[in-house]
Amino acid sequence: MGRLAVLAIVANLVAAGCSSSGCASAGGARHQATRGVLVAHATLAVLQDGEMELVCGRATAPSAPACVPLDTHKKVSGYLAEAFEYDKKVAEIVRDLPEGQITPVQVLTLVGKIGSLVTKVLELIPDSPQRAQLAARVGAK
Amino acid sequence: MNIKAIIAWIELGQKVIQKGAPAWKAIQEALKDHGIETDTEHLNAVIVDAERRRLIAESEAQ
Repeated sequence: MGRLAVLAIVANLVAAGCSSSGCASAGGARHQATRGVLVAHATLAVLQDGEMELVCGRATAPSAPACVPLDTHKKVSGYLAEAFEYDKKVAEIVRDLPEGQITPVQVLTLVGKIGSLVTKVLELIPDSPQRAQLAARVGAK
Repeated sequence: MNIKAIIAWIELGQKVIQKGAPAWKAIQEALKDHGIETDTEHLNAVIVDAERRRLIAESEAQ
């Protein structure tokens, strides 16, 4: 699965007004969007937990230069804080959607922002087998 | 919603990423045992955990 492919799928799920089996009945679009939100949130959670394990000096981290230096970790954490803020907002919007209403464009915009931040985080993590494993788990290359 | 339920929800959510859509039904059944059943409950779990993780990230960014 290519870079951001997971989040592209999420964006489609969240925006879906009709399922492949036909137009959504009342609550169908919201259910699709909920599944998308779940995947997006789990992606961010995996990324946060995985990066934490790679920070230099921690028992789980690889040796330098493969580990994440502390100043890089702080930058990564800043991006993740922003991503979780958008993540929470997306969930609130979808939760508060009236039955039968199609997911608003605002949600697509927020999911796009989350995707950009995921890319930035992965670009900051030094190459290592552990980094490759983490990237694979979140659906990036 | 208790923390065990949220943790269980996240762990199962990660399996969705790994195994794709076929895992969804199994996840829904398992989450029922933790009192997470409806879409609203799923979304409330995300909201709570997103805020918890945002605070962790903010703290780590200091």
